[in-house]
Amino acid sequence: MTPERDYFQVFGLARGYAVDLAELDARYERLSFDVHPDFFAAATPAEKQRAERLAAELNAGYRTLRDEPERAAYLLGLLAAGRALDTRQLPAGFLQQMFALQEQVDELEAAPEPAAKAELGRAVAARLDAVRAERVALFARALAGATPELLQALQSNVNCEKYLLRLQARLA
Amino acid sequence: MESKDLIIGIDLGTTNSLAAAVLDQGPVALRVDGKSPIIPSVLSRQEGHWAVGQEARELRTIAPERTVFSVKRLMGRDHGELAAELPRLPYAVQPAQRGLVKVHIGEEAFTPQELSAEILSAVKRNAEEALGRPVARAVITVPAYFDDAQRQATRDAGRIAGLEVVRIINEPTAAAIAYGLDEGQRGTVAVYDLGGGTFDVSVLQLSEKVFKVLATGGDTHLGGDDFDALLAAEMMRRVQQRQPGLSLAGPLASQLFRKTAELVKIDLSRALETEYRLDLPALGLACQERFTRVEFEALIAPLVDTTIGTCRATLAKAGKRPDEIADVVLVGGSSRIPLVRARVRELFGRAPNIAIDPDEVVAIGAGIQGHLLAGGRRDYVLLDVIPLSLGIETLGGTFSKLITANTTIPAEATEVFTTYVDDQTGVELNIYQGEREFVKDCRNLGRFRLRGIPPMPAGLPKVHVTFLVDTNGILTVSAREERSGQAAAIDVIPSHGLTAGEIERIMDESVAHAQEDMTRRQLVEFRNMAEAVFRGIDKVWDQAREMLGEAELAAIRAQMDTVRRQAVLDEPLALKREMDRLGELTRPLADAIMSKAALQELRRFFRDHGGVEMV
Amino acid sequence: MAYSNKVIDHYSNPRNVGVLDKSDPNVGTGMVGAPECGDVMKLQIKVENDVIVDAKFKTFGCGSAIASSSLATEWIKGRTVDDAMKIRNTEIVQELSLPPVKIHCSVLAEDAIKSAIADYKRKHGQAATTQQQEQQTQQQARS
Ligand code: FES
Repeated sequence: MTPERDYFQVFGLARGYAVDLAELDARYERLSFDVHPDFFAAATPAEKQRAERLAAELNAGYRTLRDEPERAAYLLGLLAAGRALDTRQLPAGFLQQMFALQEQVDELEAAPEPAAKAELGRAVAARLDAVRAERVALFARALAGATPELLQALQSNVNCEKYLLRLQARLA
Repeated sequence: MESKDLIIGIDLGTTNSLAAAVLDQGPVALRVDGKSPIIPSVLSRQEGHWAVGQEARELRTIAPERTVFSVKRLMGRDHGELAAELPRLPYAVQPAQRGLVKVHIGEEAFTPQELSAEILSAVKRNAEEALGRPVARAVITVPAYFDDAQRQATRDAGRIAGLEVVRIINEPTAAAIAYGLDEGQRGTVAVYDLGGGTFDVSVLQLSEKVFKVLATGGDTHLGGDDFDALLAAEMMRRVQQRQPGLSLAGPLASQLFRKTAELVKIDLSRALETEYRLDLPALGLACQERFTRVEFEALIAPLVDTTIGTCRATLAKAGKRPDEIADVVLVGGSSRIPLVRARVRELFGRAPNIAIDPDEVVAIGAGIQGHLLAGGRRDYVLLDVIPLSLGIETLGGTFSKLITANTTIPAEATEVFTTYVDDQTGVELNIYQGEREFVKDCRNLGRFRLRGIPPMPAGLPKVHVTFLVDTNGILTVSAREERSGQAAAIDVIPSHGLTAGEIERIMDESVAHAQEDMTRRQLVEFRNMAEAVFRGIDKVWDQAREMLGEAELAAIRAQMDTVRRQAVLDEPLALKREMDRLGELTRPLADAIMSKAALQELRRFFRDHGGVEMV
Repeated sequence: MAYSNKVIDHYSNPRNVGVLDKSDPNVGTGMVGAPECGDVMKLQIKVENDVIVDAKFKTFGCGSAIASSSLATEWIKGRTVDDAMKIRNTEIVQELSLPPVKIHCSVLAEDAIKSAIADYKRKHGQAATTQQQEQQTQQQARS
């Protein structure tokens, strides 16, 4: 699915995985002054409605670019530009590992062991770090030239993070 | 500023309400002749009329079943949800159509929206009198934790009161605006707002130009009222223990205990102990009692601890530690209780800020926001959040979130729905708000029925349904069928609120009321006009003596006295008549002076523009 | 939206939760996940004479995923392997009236069945299609 609007363009930022958050904040602030419905209180109902929708879109864009997993998925969508990717692909054996880890969390919930839980939490965090580090490298290459292989690797990378985040949420 | 441009701020509280506006001297609470700006949110039905405010408050122990207080707790709620607190109320609350409740007084029944509208009308009248001009538009505050139904109910109440509700704004956010602008507060700020019936905590990021809410939490049914109830119950228990034979059932006794409890609570914020009398000759009750602050604190500690727990959770949601909070602002009458202050201080490790009167700060913030909405300033932008996740019911009564809590608003989510059988032309959605996994633990906002989907085989139609939560935190739903491009019609069946038709009917029914309202507004207007005319006449009196004869001058003076006498009566039309007569008498004078002034004006114009000198 | 009692029952009393012996040559094990939410599911079938005689699943997914799998496992029991391959998530969606946000949960159930069948076929040396190819064809069918 190709996004309808290029948020990088909306915020006047260069398309890329690395985003200068201070700059993003500043631009979000400036754009809010342009579209926030509070500055359209005297407008017609239709104009007010338009401001509500524009502001909602601005907020969505800001949220997407501010959050790393969301930004990654969004940027991948832009780069793929309609090209079909296997949206469920994962490295071999990954699901089996996730399932085993989920079962471990179940056991820890049934019989709490704080030390083991902390240990598991650290292991999941380390894997997340590795996934993100890999992503930075992949995006750097994909921005130079988006081959189908690179895009698919990124999709798989984004997918991995989802499963790890789900585990992390249960461990929190 | 023209009165039509003025947007006042109204704090519609559980126990007290008031208005504020930005005037030439800055933001102020609106008060008449140095009186308190506060109008108790109490109303009493007396011979087909409402007494509102202080007067009604006095009637609580005299006519308890005709006197309504804490209406805010009923707003947007249904009978089932209110089950726990209804027995505490001396007035009768009955279920009405759909999820609505009505307050029954004698033969009459009123929705909470209508009752709130009466309070708003009183606030509006007070504001008009203070300002000396009519008020048509307002920003009304609600607890941050109010859901969609409660917000809509508040907006509807405003409409019934004849106000254009330009904006619904969250109470802690309003307080933060006041602190941010009046006190120049910057950084991460927590607002702890404990009112009469509701508790809110918001964590905000205040910068030079942006006031951004990071997270909000609260309980719309926890406040000073609950402290009073606990205290009253304890006081009653003690009396009962000493005089077991006494029967203390009935609204009269319960209201006496409640009222006394309120006073005891207030006393105990200043003193370590207090004495009070309870006299109710009809029940043979006469006693003198003592209560200490320590005893009171033991009673309310569990509730106060609940608020502190909510503060911790909200800080976590905002991703902040207590020590990262630059300032803690206290809002609401109940934040005066020493135990509350102590606990807040303990949590944040700093003394809370109370620079702005906690009773007025919310209205002041709303007034400032009204000023911004009216175009009076453009130097900050307010970014608030949706307090509770919004979603739809799915299989087995589970709740699927579409927009999660603490998302910056306005926020939008679009989902594509399809049909399950061939030629199906409608789809029904059940919308909820809450954080729990099952819809039975969330609030049902209503059903949305999409109609007019073109007949197609099952699964083929693609109906894009857009859920938009606007700046007021209120949901609107729109739908479009993709293949036909047709906008699908949506029937909204609110679960708690009033339908558009019902609001209209209430407004029709209150035509008489509206007339009375109009009368008041006119009166205010004419009185002000009269004063302006008098000032004008005074100013030109010397010139008038040169222009007019003795008899004409005497007639003018006599008519001015007539107008003065008429102005103190409540008859706007008669006042208007007398003013018109005065206008006729002074017309020659006005004409003469006008033409002279106009001539001078023209002369100055031509001189300044290097034109020809006029004779 | 009133759900039928049958549907609610699948939610509150899910059938066929559990495990089968993985090493049994007649048991096929499928492991799938939903990247939309990060939920994982294991589903197993036991086949005798080309007919599915038992099915069990375990998931860390949401209620809709549980109900979808409960329903789907009930459906495939007693069917032939080829017949079971024909199950489509849209049927589950329809039966359970799942809204758009929950469609991926039914996909999880469908994928799990196919993955289990593929594993069974692999064990019996009749892997006509690889799991990968299968998933791709399904994807095209869905979108
Ligand atoms: S939300 Fe993950 S399977 Fe349903």
